[in-house]
Amino acid sequence: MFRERQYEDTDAIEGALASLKPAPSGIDRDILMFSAGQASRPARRFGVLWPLATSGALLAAVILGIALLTQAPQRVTEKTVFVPVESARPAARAYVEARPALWAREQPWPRSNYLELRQKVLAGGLDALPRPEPTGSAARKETVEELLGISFSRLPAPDHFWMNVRRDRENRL
Amino acid sequence: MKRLSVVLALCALGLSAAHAGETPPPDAERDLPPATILVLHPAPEAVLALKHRLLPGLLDRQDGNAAVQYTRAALMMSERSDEQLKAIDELRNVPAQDLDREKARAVLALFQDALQKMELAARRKRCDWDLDLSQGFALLMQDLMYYRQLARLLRIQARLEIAEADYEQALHTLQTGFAMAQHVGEAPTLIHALVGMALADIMLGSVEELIQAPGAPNLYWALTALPRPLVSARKGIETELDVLALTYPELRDPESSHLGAAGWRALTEQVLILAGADHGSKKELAPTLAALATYTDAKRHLLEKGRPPEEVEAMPVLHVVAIYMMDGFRRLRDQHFKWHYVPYWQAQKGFDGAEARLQEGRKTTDAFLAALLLPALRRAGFQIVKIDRRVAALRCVEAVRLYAASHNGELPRSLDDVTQVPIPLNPATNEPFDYRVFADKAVLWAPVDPQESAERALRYELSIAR
Repeated sequence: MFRERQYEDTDAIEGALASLKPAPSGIDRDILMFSAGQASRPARRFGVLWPLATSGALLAAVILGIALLTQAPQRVTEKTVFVPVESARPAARAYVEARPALWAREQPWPRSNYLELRQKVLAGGLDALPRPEPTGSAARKETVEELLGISFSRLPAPDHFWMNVRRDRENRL
Repeated sequence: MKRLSVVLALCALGLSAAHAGETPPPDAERDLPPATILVLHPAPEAVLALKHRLLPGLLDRQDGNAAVQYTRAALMMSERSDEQLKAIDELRNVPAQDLDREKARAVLALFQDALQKMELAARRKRCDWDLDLSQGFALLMQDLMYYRQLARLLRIQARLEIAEADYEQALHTLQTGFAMAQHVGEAPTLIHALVGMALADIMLGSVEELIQAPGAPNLYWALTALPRPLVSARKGIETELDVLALTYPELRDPESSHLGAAGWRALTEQVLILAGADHGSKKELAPTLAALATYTDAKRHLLEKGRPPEEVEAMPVLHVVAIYMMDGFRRLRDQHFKWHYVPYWQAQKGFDGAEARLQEGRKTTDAFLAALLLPALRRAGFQIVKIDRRVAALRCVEAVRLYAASHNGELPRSLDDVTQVPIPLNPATNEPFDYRVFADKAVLWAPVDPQESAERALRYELSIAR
């Protein structure tokens, strides 16, 4: 009895289902999967950090690139470095480094010149002083441009500054 | 026999008396140095006794550092050609009366910028050379050589002004020269002091020229107002006292300096090279040789000072040697330097004794540094007093001019006859100068000091222009 009744209910459902007409689904599978994935993503912690960092790096790269292209070519210089091979006790090494040898200093007079000169001046007075080396008009003098490493022809016209100074002074007078 | 000797003695006395009244005997006979001949014009004291001065007065001096201006003047000289500098030398020994004035003007015009700087410098209120004394023996003094030329320039300028009878201007130039001598001499090295004295000596030569010019003012009080000593070497002597420790601060108190064996070796090597005891190119051997020569004595010295033997044995060898040498150096140094602080005439025996002890000390190893590094202090002392002796002698000459002005152009028979002004003593001996009259000439001289040659000793032959 019970089974018959059960089958009767099933048949009713079958009938109902059979009466249904197929219709296109309203759900896009791809969108569903994307939305599911998006929903499963953890919350964004650093907001705009990475975009900013990326932008900064890009900007730095551009600036360095410009600097590299515009800088003057570097002069290659050779430098001889003497590496001490002798080990010394720290105090002694510090002493030697702090006080370079007297004979290594640049001196126009011979080494221990003070003692020699003192002895000579005591014995012979002013005439014992060494004669000055001729460095005057006979010797070639470097120009101001050479000394400063600039060319005045590339500087702006002189009245930009000094002429204005003179004019100001005259006006004040 | 006795009667004959009395007659001979009387004849000799008579001859010498007759001789004394006529002309001065030849120099060789009297064993006197060659004289500087001064032909004088009588000149009374000015109404304002201190009107004429040989140093710029306070009212003439301005704020600023003289050393900066002197250095600029020296720099200007360094830029001159050799030919231009030789032009100064050509004129330096020409007397005022023989001076080619046009040439002198041309030479002075060449160096006008340096002369202006000197004039400015001499009238500054202070002079600070700002030398880096920590350089000690390595101190550079390249500009000093130009002061010789600067002083000679001033001498030529004064000579031209004297030749043109512009005595006020000549005195102005002399003020510049004496101020420069003082300023250079006040720099803190003995070399500067000696150069300052030499500059003063050059300017005293100009004073001799000025006081012979007709109508030149009497400079007795101007010379008297100069400081004594004219150029003080005090700062230079103080530096000399400590220059070794200034160069190497570790030697100020070597007992408490701990440099280690390598440090003491490096320091010893430097000191020996400085003193010229480095055996030429074998400088690396010098410390070893020094140690070999002195270590036994040095160790005994430290033990005698009370250092425990085990401590001495543990010390680096050259540390022991350094303490020993510095103790010896300081002992002998002080024996010398203390005599600089008493007047020269009192110090001579002291200097001699110190010199003898140094010579004796050469036999011992601790006198090594003193023998190499100490200056000839007695000679330095004489250089100082020599300038003051010349000033004092010129004061006597000016006193003679004062006397002649009030005695119809006569020379005083003795310096005691001069009563208008005090007659100075010879500062080298603290005794009066020798002064004798031979007919129309007088000779003023000082005894030759052991530190000077007889040819360069002080002697003036004075006469009155007629």
